[in-house]
Amino acid sequence: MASSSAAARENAPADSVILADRFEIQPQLPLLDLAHAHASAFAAWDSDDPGLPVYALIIEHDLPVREQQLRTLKGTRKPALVQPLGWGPVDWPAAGGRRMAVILTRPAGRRLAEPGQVDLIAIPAKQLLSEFITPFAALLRDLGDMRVTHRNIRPDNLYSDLEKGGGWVLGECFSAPAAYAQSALHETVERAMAMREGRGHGTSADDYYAFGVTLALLAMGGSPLSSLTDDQVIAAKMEQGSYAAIIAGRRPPAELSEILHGLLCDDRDTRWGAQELDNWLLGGRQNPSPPPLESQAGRGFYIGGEEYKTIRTAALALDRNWDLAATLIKDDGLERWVRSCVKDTARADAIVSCRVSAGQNAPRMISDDLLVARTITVLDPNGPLRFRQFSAMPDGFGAALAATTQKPEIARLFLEMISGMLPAFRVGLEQNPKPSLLSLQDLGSMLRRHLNQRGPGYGVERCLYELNPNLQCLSPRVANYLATDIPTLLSAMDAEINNEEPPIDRHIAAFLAARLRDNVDRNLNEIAAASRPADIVLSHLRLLALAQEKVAAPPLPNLCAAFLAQMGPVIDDYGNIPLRKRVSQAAEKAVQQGKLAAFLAIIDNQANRQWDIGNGNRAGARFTKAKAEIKRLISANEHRHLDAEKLGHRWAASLGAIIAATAVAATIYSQMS
Amino acid sequence: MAVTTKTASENGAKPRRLARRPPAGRVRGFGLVVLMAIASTMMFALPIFLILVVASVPPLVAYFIDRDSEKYAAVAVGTLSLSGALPYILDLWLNTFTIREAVLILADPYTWLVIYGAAAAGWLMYFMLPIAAHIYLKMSSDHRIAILQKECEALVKEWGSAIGDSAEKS
Repeated sequence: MASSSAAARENAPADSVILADRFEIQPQLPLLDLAHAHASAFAAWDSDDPGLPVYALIIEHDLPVREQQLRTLKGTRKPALVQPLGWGPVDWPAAGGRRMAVILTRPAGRRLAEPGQVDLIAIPAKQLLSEFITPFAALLRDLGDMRVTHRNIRPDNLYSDLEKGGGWVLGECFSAPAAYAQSALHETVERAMAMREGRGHGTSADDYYAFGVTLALLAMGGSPLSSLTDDQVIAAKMEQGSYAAIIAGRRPPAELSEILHGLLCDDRDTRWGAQELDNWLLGGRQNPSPPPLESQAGRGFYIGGEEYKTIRTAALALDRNWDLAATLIKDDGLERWVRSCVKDTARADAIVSCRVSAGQNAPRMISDDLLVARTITVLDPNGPLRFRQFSAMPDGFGAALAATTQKPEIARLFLEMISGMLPAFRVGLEQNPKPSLLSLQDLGSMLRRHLNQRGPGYGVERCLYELNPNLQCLSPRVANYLATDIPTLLSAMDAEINNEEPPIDRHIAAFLAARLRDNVDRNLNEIAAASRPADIVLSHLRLLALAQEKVAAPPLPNLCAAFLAQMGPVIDDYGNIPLRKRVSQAAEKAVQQGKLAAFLAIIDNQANRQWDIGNGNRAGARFTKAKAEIKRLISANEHRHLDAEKLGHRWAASLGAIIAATAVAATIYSQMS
Repeated sequence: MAVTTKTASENGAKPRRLARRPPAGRVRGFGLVVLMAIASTMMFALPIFLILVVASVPPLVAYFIDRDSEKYAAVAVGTLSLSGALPYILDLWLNTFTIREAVLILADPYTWLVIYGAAAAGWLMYFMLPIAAHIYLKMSSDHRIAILQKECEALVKEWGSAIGDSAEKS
């Protein structure tokens, strides 16, 4: 493999794409065997280790990749699992923009099955034991110890050279949200009912279940369930149990019967995990008993002309016939059926309570949609939270919400679900909720707090970034940069800035608020309240300056220049014209440094503001007074002849007195001399 | 029962303009002093009294024809008229203090020319000085307006035209 990799590199065309100055991706050499529906695979080379066979996955969707799993598994040496070596956005000429690339070690051999392939080659139990069960039990134990879930275990994600032999390798699990590419067959009933983006990270128990399904398919050469739709698979598993539904009346190899029973157990708490698997490998017999199937009612409940005899199938049918569900729930038919036919009085009472908005934090009113959602949650509390087309496990909210960015109507459903406090309702169904369930209540409260505020930095966008810590900023202005952190976002804004509009939109505001550790509510409220052009520009500058300062982002000269171009209204807010000139000149000098905080300190200097306001008021008073005096003098001119006459007469009298006094003195003097 | 009273302005009537007149007691006292002075002069200085009678005619006329309460015309004409008579009164007082000499002085047309010429000068001052005062006031006002306008221009230059707008609004 190493020699073929080196040879391919020598033959590679020159237009390769470089990632992190280390990995060379060759767009002209696609690897169809390693590609997924949501990610294309291409030949790649690691300049640090040219002999290591690697390949690159180019992500074709806007959903978050599993960056936490990438970070955890990078650098670990697990021969049964493809290893992540690097990842990041690259300029991808074929897409006309940037794409997220993930560099992985290249597995030897081919896929054990093509995606969607129904009939597989049955592999002998002995070979499965040595090449699949034993190494993958160790792998799953290691992943469990690292608190990492794979969530992508299925035959078409397994690689081996069956003819030459050699170790089997489990394919990647990083390029899409957890279980995004899994079919309902490989998922537990609960998670299979969620939209595929919302199946959630899950736990090791979900990996062991998928491991069991894969083992059963490889051992028997497929399953009749593979050709069914997801809903049919879920219904079959509900009615028969996973083991019976997947085996479908056939006989698995006798030596694998016990492990399959244990791994395909529908009860998560009794499903086999690492310990049971190790015991089984050491030869211990455990005889796992399948959990009892849900009891069937004597008389079924009819939804859309179909009869359903268990509560969970009825819940699934209500979800699939949402418009009809509200009517069925309101006319008490469902509650009567649960009470009289299913004989589950507690659940029947809970169905009645779905119509009541009780408690201090309960929603003001129960809409039809919320009533249906609550009722389905009562009927199937372990399933995903469902609200019309939106359905997700609590740990899959983030990716599910990310999937709705191009579908505003689905995002609205998420908003209604959170506003209707469905998570809190779900927690309230338990007498003694587990810690994981209590965290759902906290999550619901946090999301509701953000959704209740309408301004920039809040709303659905804020929920999106809070729930997806590794999601790139989806603002149309910088979407092409795949900015997953603030420095990258600010650099992207610096490169793409234009002077026509304020730089921060709702996505950027929410991204900054979610990623900055500081509380920026004051800045966000300032942006929301700003109406004058000067206030708008200043509020945007303040938030970006704070972000640049907190994350030590690189200089942003273009952003500074754009702000300077928009600073007209802010500088004009200074009344004193010489001060405006001084501020403007200082700001122009600061642009070159690209430091927004320093730029802001010049533009919005409090000492200057106070001086300007104080002296401006005094100057205004002086101006007003002078104008009033001018007006008074001009007005007085009209009546001046009267004043002049009076003054002239007074002068005449005074002058006469002076002359008289002078005459007396002169006369007396002349007589005396 | 409360009685509401209205002032003249509240009734819509124009308030009556009150002339600035000295109190009646003071006028009466001043008149008494003048009468006593006249009587004393008649009794003890009749020659001088004769000259003063002639010299007092222009200010008296001015006093009666001047509508101004301050009677500046009487003061201006009177002071100059008495200044014109002063040499003759002093001549009488120091040389021949007789009625005959007073009559001789009054018989000289030159005496009348001097006394009434001085009174005419008083009238001339009275009529000409308002013109001078008008010119003075106009120059003073124009100078002050020019200073104020220059100050306003300097303020607009330093603070922008908005300062003028705000001032006009206020």
